[in-house]
Amino acid sequence: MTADDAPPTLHHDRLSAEDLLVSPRGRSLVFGLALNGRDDEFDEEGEPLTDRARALSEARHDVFIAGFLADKE
Amino acid sequence: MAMYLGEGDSEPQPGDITAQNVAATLRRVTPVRPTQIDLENELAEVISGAMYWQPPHGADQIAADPEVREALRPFAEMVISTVPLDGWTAPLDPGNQWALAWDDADHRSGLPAVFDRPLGPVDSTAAPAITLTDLYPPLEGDGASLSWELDEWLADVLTAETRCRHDFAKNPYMELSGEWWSTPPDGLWSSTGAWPNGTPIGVELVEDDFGLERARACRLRLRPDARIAEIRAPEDWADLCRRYSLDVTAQRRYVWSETTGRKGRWVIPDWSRVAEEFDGVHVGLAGYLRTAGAVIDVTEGRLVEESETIPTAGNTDDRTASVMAGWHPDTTFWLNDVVEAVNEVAEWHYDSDVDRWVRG
Repeated sequence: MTADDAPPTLHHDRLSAEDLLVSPRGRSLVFGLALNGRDDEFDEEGEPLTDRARALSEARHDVFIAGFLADKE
Repeated sequence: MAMYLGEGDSEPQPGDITAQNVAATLRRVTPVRPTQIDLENELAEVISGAMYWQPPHGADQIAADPEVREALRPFAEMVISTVPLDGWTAPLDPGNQWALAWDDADHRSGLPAVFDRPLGPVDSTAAPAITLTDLYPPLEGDGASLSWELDEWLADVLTAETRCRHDFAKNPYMELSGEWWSTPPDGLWSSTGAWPNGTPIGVELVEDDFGLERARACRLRLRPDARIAEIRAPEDWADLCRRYSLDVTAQRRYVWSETTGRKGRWVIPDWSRVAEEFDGVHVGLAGYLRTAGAVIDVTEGRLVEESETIPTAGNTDDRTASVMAGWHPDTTFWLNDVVEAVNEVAEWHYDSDVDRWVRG
């Protein structure tokens, strides 16, 4: 992370998508929400039942592996 | 966001999955409209994992990759366009401020005295006034006290900085850990607002949460002319840093380089001087999200006195910066004596059956 990561916004009104994406906490919030899934899209063993759930499952897997590797560096 | 390998999982090897792979799979995921509850739950999860003394979790490092960040844009836009967030940018509501006392009796010497007080409105004519000390556990051992005065706090910070500079003079590359927060000192009143359903925000959104499950909330009556500094964005924090600079380069050098990757000059607001202009400093929800944990650019070059004792070895830039660390969302620290009374006491506890904080 560098000084450039400090949110550049000067406005103090409603939050924007950019506000969320440039700040560490906002980005983590969006990332967590992106990886949330609806229970009814997965079976009892957690296997995806829909195309959306399959894509989500793959994304979760990739995030897990990439995050694990980043933790090790 | 923390993730762990389970038993039987083979250990991934470098290059197996990259940030670019993550971005590609994210682009195939259709954003789903989050509910207000989804948002609050995820916010609590993010905030409870906030740490300022070590590198971000691996997944958060991945999220900071420019390609991943861009892949997250549709999800961010979905949040912004579907969840009403107008209240998150609201300034402090002086009529709805709650100071919290926690039940941490398992780890401390006992419960704060406010747990012995009856719940409900406080009749100040019939009972002793609730004071700030009633919100803290009894002192232990030799009675080592909290720092109660801003002057004492300033002296502590200056002493620590001098000590750390001496240590760096002996070894410019030493890994010198220490305080990581940039809040005013404990021993001041602090308070939080409430969600629309009345739950104090401060019981749900706690940085580095370690599982506290019961709190007493004291509604404060504040002096009506209290002067409030609103931290709505990094610029507001940078402004306080520029006007009331306190150099903490040596004592934050290691911990803040761990969490940000930056080495350079660090400052925080000198709360003892901020108190001359403001009675309270409020970090609202939006201000927290925009500001917490980021490297806040304060100024080009140095802001404080030039000194050969300020460590510079390995600096990554020549600017002056700060980090807003240790502020729970929607917290106000009261720098001056503007709390007139506690006029209501309520109890809140975490109900695991419904996964919510409930009153009573």
